[in-house]
Amino acid sequence: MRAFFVHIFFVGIILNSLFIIQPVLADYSSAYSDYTFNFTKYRETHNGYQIAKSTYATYRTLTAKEDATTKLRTVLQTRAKLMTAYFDLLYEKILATPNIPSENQNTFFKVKENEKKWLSQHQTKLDAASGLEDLNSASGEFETRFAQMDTESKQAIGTILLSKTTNLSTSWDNETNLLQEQLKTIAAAGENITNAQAGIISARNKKELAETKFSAAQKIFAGSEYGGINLFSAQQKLTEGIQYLREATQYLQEIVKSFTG
Amino acid sequence: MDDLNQPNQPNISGSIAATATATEIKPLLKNPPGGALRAEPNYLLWILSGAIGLIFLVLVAAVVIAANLVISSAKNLPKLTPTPAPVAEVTPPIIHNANPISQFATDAAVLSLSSDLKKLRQDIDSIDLFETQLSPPSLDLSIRVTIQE
Repeated sequence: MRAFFVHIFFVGIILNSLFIIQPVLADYSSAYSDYTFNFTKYRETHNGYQIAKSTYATYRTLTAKEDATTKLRTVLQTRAKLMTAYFDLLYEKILATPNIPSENQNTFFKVKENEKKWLSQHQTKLDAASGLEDLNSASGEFETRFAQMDTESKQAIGTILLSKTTNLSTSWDNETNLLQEQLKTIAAAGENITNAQAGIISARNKKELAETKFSAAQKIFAGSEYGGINLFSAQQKLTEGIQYLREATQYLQEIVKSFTG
Repeated sequence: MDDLNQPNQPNISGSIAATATATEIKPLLKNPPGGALRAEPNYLLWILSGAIGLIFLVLVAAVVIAANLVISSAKNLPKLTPTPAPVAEVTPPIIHNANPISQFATDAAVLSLSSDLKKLRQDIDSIDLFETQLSPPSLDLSIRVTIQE
C-alpha cells in the first residue's frame, strides 16, 4: 500500500513538471513561429515597396503613385507588426529561461506593453494616413522610436544571457563549497589535502576572472560604457568569462579525481 | 754569277746550289732575321703536362685511400647472427582500483560531487551565448517614397 502511494507521488511530480514546463516551451515556439512569419511577410512587402517606388520614380503616373502609396503603407504596417512579434518573442524567452527574477520579468513585461501600445498607435496612424506625405512622416516617427526599441530589446537579450551565466556561476559556487566541506572531512580522516587546497585557490582565481568578464558584459548591456549597446561585444565578454569558468571547473574536477583515482 | 747569288733562281745546278745553301743557311739558323724561326723549348707544354700528371697522381692516391677505407670498414662490420626466438609470457590481468589513492575513492559524497561537476561542465560546454533566434531583426530604417512633381 505504501509503495502504491509512493508510486502515485512520483507520477504526480512528473506530470506536474510536464504541465508546468510545456506551456512555457509551447509559448516560446509559438512566439518564434509568429516572429518568423512576420519577418517573411516584411521581406515580401519590402520587395513590393521597392519595385513600386522605382516604378513611380520612373513613370510618375497617377497609377504608379497610388501603387507606391499602397505598398508603402503595407511595408510600414508589416514593419510595425514584426517589431510587435519580436517583443513578444523576447518576453516568452525571458519566461522560458530559468531563474530570471520575477522583477526582471515584470520590468520587461511593462516595456513590451509600452512598445506594443506605441506600435498599435503607429498602426492606427498608418491606416489613417491619406497620402505619401503622411506615410513618410509616420515612417520617420518609427525610425526615431526605433533607437529606444533597439536598446530595450538588447537589454532583454542581456537579461537572458546574464541569467544563463549567473545560473552556471551559482552552481559552480555551490559545488566548490561542497568540495571544501568534503576536504575538511578528508583532512579529519588524516589524509593530506595540501594539493587540493592549492587547487581550490587556483580555481577560485579563475572564477574571479570569469566574474570580471561577466561584470564587463553587464556594464555593456546596461549601456553605460559605450553609449549604445554593442551586443556582439557583450557576447564576447560573456564567452571569455565562460572560458574562465570552464577552466575553474576543470580544476575542481582534477581535485576530485585526485581522490577517486 | 750574279744569277747564282740570287736565292729565288729556280734553275741552278745541284752542286753549286748545295754549296750556297750550306754556307748561307747556317748563320741564318743561328740568328734568323726578325727572330721568327727561333727554336726555343716550349715551357707551357711542360707545365701543362706536369699539372695533368700531378692531378692524375692525386686521383690515383684518393682511389687507393678510399678503397682501403671501404675494405677496413667492411672488416669492422658486426657479424650477422640469427635473432633468438621470442618467448611468450602471459600478461597479468588488469586490476582496476587495486590500490585506491584515497580511502574516499568510493565515498558516496565524493562520487556525487564528481558526477555533479561533470554535469556542470556539460552545461558550461553547451551554453548558447549568441541566441541567434533572438537577434534583432534587420530593418530598413529609411522607408519613404519621394513625391514626384
